[in-house]
Amino acid sequence: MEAARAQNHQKRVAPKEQPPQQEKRAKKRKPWAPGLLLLTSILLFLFGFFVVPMLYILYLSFISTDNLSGEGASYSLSNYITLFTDSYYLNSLWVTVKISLLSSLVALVLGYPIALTMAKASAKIRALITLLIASPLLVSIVVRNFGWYLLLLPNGTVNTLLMDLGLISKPMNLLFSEVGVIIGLSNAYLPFMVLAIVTSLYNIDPSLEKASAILGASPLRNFLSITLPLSLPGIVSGCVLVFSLSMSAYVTPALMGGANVPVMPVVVYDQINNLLQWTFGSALSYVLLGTTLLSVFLFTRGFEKSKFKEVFR
Amino acid sequence: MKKVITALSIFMLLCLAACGAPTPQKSGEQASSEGGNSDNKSITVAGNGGVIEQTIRDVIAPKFEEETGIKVNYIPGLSGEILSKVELQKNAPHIDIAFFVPTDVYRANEKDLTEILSEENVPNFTNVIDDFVSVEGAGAPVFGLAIAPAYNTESFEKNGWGPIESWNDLVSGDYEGKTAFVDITNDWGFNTLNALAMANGGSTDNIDPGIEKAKELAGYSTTFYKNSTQVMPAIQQGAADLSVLGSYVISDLAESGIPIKMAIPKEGVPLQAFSATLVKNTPKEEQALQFIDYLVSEEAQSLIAEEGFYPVVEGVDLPEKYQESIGIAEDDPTFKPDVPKFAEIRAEWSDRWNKEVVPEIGKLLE
Repeated sequence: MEAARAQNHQKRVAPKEQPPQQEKRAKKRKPWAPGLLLLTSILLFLFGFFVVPMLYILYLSFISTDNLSGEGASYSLSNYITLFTDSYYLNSLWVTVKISLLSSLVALVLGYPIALTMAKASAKIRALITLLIASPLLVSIVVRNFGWYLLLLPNGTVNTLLMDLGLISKPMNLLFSEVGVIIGLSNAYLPFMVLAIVTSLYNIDPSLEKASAILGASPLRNFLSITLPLSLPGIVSGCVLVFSLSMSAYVTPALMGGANVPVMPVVVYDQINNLLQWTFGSALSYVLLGTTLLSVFLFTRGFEKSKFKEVFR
Repeated sequence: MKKVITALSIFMLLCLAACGAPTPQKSGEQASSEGGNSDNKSITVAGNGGVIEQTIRDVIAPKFEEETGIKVNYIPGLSGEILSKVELQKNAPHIDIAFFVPTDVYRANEKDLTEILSEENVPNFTNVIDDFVSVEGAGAPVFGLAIAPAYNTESFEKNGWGPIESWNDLVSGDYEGKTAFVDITNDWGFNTLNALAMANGGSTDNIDPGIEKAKELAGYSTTFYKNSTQVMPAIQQGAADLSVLGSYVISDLAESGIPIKMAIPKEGVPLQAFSATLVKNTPKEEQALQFIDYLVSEEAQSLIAEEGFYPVVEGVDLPEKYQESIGIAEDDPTFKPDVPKFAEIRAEWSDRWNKEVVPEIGKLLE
């Protein structure tokens, strides 16, 4: 027994007895090196075309004069102070968050049944639905919005149809309102929601539902206790995608909301492009980015800490 | 790992440093071989998309190339975007000629981004009508226009609405939201606010009367369009009977069969032009000047007028086909906007518009 123990101990300490050069080589071997090598191209791309421009924009946001070259610039927090002390910009930020939340909610309500149908359908039907869902992405967002614009005009197709059917007596205000923007955004980003949810639905083990049915669970109970909780990762990633895209959307709010819905990306565009206030526009865009990141972090963290945390492991 | 992070940090800093101003070219040195700017037989022009791009690409550039052998490459974009590009490339320009709206001509000149244009380097400048010149010496007016109210003649007749005789006539509950006015971010919106101020005893130094009237205008409107291209379909679809547009858009709509006409209020309509500026330090100054000179020649101006723009030189008339929709008679009141003042007050007016006028949208609609 003692001899066996001694042998085991010898085995355990064996590496320590390696010659110093071999030990050095073993230390030098880095398990992450091949992965990093493979990632080099994308990292360089990200640094060159994302991180560097973003750092430049961050630098601009601290300049209090509007001079792109930075010559004779003075640095201060004045852009941020203006932003946080002016109710117009704070309201714009709030409108952006509200519209993005509602667009995510509408996309979720519309997208979940579609994803569920896809998950349960045969391969052929699934391919067909995928094509239908993804088809709006093939059309330019500007063209799509102009389509919506013509449909939702006071004398457009939707209002005319509803009035002809006697459902309304005067045209509804569908355009140039938050409703119009939410319709546009949820339509534009619905495919992202559906594809995110359906991926998590595919991963649910079908035997779980079968077992639950055998034990007498109704289809509704089955859905509420198995399908819905297990598809939460998909719901969360779908919501995060739609929310983030909505927060930064410019075309849809500009075309469908007009001046009535002053979302942050439209305000940033106006500051930079029309008033040439690059530095203030840069500060606005950083606050928008920060709000998006914080919202997404709180949302995902909330789910990961909830009673459903197991499904996120 | 530390080494990798250090290497990436150095790379990042190098990239960031590269974002700064490029190294200036030595005088007389040719441009690098990048882009379409490498040879002497082509120039790069940046200007508005749509009808201006079409006119230059399809009508003017082929004629110019035929006469001089110089090819014109066109980059479409909005005036403000082009100004930012020119500013960012100011020491090594890739754009030889930039087209701007009047306030951007002024801003480009203030930022020292343009070369002086005069009769000395542009001989045809002698014929240019002064009313269209935004900033003396900073740019050559090319595409003349007026910013004016436009109304659907059939709807006005059918509803018995009176003529638009003053800018104040735009403000009326009669139109029941069937109006399409653009936001202040667009030149049409900005000029509307200025005209409303003028019509109510205000001026560029006193915008308060204009803001008060604009609030009323907002009350009777469903929105202010952020994108001017949306106004056209609204008029074509019959969703709007009254608007304020650039005259070239009115003529274009009239040509397509829409019963639309420009109104000239008693306070006058502002005349202006999309102007060509010679970008400072362009290595192709000679060729660019040749093109600018051609743009203000009688030949080119006749071709441009055929597309619905007012000719900016003496001796060329607006074609007969446009007289009905956008013709301006000798005694019609027009004025030249105070462009430097506009550039100075733009941010302040925009701010007041966003905070005081926009919240009033639709409040007076039943």
